Amino acid sequence: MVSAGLAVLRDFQEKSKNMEPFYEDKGDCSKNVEAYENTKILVLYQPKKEIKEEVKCSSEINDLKNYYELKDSSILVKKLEEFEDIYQPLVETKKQIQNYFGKNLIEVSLNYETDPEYQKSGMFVIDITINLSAQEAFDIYNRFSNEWFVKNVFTKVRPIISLNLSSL
Amino acid sequence: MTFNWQKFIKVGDEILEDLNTPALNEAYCRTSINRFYYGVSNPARNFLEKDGRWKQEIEAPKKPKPNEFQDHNEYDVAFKNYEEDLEDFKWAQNSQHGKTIIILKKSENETENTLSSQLSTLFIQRKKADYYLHEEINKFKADLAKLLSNEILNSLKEIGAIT
Repeated sequence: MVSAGLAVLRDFQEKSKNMEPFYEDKGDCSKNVEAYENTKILVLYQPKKEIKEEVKCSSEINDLKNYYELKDSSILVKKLEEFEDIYQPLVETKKQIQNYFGKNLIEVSLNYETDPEYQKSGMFVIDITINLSAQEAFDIYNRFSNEWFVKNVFTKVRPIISLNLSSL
Repeated sequence: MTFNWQKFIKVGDEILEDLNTPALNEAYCRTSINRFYYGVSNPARNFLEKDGRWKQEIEAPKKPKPNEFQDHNEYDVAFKNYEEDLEDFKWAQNSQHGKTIIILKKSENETENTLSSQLSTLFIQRKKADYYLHEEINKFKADLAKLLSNEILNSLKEIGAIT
């Protein structure tokens, strides 16, 4: 009896080597539930690589919402998934924008703008909404761009990240 | 005789200064932003044409093959880079705006990199002014485009694109 139980446990360990738990953000998890033979343990498992990529991507995009208002999200999310390496530069850029614009900053949003000449391409756009005159806003934009943004982000990441300014 | 693109800037300036008809204010603002963009993007493109970089096609990226890599992860990285390069390549092939911005961004000259970033900002402002129906294009945005356009002129002078 005991040895049969151990055999089942060893079998379970062997089968789950390349698997890891799967948690869906939304939806019906019961589709992924398997009742493991003889043990009556419910296991939520699926192949490692697949799960890891999915969870990583969605959590990073979700995390970006702590830094940016995400606009026009369908194309933006698609592009963020394509260029996942820009997550950290985007987070760092938001921190620097906060440093440069300080209390005059009202909102910072992230969007993806396509080129009217070729709708399949375009650029990420960081829209900075401030409470300043055009001249004051431009002076800070220029300093931020020259001192930090161009050398640390713009030329370092593959897709084009552009800045834009708006006023309330 | 070649057209002096700085006349576009002058026209943009005049439009912006002459906002006497309230009903036309937004139309003036949208038009002046358009002038401020083309007044600098065309000289930038002409500069690239003149120095030969415009004709040199942006190189088509080479598709990596799995058997060129021992490690599967290395192949994944190379393939992802390839896909991203391919996007730049297609954009440059299909849009003069994209091509100008990409060539200047890939340059090793820091002023040209700054110019690329500035042009991308003005490109977005121009796109909104020309295409966006539900976003108000006001004096603030037109003034910003003017300031940016003047700054880009300085960068163009610095690299010798205009005198």
